[in-house]
Amino acid sequence: MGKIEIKGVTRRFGATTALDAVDLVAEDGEFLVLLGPSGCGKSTLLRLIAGLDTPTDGRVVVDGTDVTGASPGDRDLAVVFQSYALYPHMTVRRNLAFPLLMDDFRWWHHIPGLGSALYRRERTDPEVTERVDAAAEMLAITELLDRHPRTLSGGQRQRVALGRALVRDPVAFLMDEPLSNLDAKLRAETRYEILALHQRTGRTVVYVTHDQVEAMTMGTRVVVLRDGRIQQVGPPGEIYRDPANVFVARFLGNPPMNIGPGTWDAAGETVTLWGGALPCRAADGAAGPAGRDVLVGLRAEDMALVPDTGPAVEDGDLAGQGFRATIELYEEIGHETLVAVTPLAADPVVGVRGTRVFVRHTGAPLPLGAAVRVTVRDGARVSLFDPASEERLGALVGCGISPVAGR
Amino acid sequence: MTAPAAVTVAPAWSRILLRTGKALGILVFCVACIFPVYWMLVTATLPTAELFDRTPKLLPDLAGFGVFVDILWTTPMGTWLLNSTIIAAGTTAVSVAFGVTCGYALSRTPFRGRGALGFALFVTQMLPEALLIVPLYAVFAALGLLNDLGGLVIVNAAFVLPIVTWMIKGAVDSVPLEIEEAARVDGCPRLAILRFVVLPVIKPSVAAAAVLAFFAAWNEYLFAATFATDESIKPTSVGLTSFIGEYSTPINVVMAGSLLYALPAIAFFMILQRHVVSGLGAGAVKG
Repeated sequence: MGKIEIKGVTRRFGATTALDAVDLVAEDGEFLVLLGPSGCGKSTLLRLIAGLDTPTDGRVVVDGTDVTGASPGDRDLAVVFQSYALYPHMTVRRNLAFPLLMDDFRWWHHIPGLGSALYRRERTDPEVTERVDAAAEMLAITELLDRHPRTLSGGQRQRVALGRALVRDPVAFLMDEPLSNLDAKLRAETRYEILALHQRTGRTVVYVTHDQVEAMTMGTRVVVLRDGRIQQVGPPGEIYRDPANVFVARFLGNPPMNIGPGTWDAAGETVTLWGGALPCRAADGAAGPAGRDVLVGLRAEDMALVPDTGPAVEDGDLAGQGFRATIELYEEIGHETLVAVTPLAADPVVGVRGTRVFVRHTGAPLPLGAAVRVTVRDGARVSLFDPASEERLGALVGCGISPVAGR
Repeated sequence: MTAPAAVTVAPAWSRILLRTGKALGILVFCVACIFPVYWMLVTATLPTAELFDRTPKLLPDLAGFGVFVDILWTTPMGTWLLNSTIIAAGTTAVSVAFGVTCGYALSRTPFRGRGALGFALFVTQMLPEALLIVPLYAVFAALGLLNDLGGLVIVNAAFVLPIVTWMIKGAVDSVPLEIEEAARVDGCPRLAILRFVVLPVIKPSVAAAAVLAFFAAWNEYLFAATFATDESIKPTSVGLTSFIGEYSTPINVVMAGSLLYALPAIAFFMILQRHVVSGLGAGAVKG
């Protein structure tokens, strides 16, 4: 149970298309992250799964049952909202119990004066109290049960919202940016809480976020969306290492992947980038798109820089490889340093002026404005993209300097 | 509290002066509000002869309090008050019930002509009541609603409902949509969302609307005077005017009746006043 299939779902709002024929399957027990910039349709997709919105075209199938037209309450899915959406007039206990109490809703509860009968089971039904207490204990909110949401902090409110989802034991959890209203420290804590919840319940989680760190650390699989279309689906590591196109490469990772126009010479086993030669070989025996213009993608950790001391460098480790650049700024992040450099070889055609290339530097600090040589590390992953379509063409393996030589 | 330190070190005498000034201002305002009521009480207890003395009496005559008993025993005051209560309670119930559902629909359901409908509701408030009295009389006569408490409830509700609808619409607009979506996911039917999720949150506005509807119906005179000619149907507003005779008007009786007329309305307000508190909406979503 807990398998969610999205089949050819399109959602249009007037003239704009929020989702364009999306096909996606969330396997049972999976932590599927929908990732994309704002306006990419990720929240719309989640709302369609939840039943809060209906698709213009296509079907939503949960555990083999077509629920496209079913009401949200009949889908047995729980939603955690970004704004928590707790019932302000109810205590935490009642907030948690509410989904259970609604199972017993009768028409005569509408009659003024008889409405409170709806809440009678909140304390009398052992099953309700048991499940509420269990959920509260799991999220460590037992001592908050008799308080109202307005007296709680943001983190506590979000835990109550998680508890309300948990109490129903749904087939899947749908979460719409549940952490984005929390401060950095709470966000990290709650992130682990959600992961623990996923592991303990074993239920499917569909999680919407625009934060790539959340996507990378939480998802078993990540779906990258852009303008209502799926760009790539896969485990976070794979998407990071082998992005399907330039958009994914730039969206995932901090800093984003460095991408520049270059050529791949298969015979000479070099990639020319920003006027420098980077020694590479085809990965896994794949020929690669030799002898044509490509977009070359390199992660910051796949590059190394050494001071450009003129002929000495030519004779030394680099032996003529790498492109020339100047150091623009330093960014210390604890154990390592991120260096932004500007390539010097201003290709008159593509014009690299203003291009900022991020390199992870582990050696001795260099002064700002220093001339450096940047090359590819040995064993690095070099992605190639088509300059026109920006789609992935293949990958190369760098044969530049080893990390030790870069020091 | 992060009040600037400069405020707390202001000279003590100026603060005392400010507070005294404020207190005095409030006192004057309260007296101005209460004095007419007090004057009614004084007038009600004085014998008619003393009412026209050159030096007005400022204290009520204890011997004159019998007028309140007299008015209940010798005039149909009790019936009038009962009629007023039925009309006002009926109007409140009808206009709140319909106002809540209409206001909710106007706020939440997108339909063609929603804006125009909202505007039309507003336009109804611009028509003078006197303009409608003749056509309404004809309609009510045809429907047999003249001399009927239900008829007065209908006409009062018709005039109050647009305002109540607007008040409720405004209140529902401020309720985060996500709360309702959460309720839908929790398996709450549409009407139950209104009853158990939205209504408790907008309770202060509903109470305010109820007070408004109650007072509008309680004080209404024009339609009651026109449609309720039968003595047993008259509400207090119409009944009191029947004291005004062609040759003489017993001022003390009119004042005593007016005071009795005001009391239930004040009681109703005080009961509902507790609920007209805001701040319940806080805490639903990230604030």
